[in-house]
Amino acid sequence: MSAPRRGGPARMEPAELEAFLAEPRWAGLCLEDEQGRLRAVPAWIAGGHVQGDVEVTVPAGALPAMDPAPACLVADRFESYVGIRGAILRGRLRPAEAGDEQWRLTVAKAHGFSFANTTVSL
Amino acid sequence: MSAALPPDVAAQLDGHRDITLFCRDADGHPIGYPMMISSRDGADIVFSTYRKSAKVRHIERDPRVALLSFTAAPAPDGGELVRWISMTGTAAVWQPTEAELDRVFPPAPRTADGRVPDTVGPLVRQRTLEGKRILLRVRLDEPDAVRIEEGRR
Repeated sequence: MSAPRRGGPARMEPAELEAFLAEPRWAGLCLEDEQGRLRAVPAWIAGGHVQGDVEVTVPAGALPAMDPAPACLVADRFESYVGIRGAILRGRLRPAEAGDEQWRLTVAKAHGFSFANTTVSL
Repeated sequence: MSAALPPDVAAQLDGHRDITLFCRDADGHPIGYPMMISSRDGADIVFSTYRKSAKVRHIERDPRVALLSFTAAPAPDGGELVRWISMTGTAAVWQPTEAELDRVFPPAPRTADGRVPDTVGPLVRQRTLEGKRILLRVRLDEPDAVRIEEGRR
């Protein structure tokens, strides 16, 4: 359970983050393309983990074939204000198989946040 | 007012205010944050955030950002359809005057969001005037070229 605090969102405990990532969901994926520009696309996470690799599926044609690159995956759920949960995973993205839809993010940094115990002091 | 967006893009952004903002961390690598659009004026999109947040530091160091808006729904034949708008732009940290704040974040929000308690809007305004919160204004690159894309899984 995340600790109560005033102001902004609390950091998720590792077990909470693991449970959040285990739920399949769409997320936002961003990397730097070969021209050095940020490029963001939707990505489906079938179920991820804090440690290790997260397999993601992007719509066909959304990402060009490219060498492994630093990337960030942002997954969140916003059904109510106190129900806001999210995860920010950063690491290195590489193709998981032939084609342009299956990718693998090797997670180097994982951060989860929760508004569950946040006082609305903003 | 900045340049206009295509009407279907503008309608999606105005009707679905959840969005992901990506910038670069201290190493120059992508890092992202879920956000809610506070207001939009043509190709200028405005967000509210804490003055001391990490994203503000990142954007002050490098204002180049990407934005992603998406919605997903079950496809009639199975799977899921996803519609998205991928944008890039330049962000500016903006400490608005009260008059400016009235324009971009009116005292009575134009679009109520049932997920957000009524107390949040006035608190955001107050904290912004106190300088604890600021606005991020993203001016989109090539607004004429922004389009809705569709795919499936």
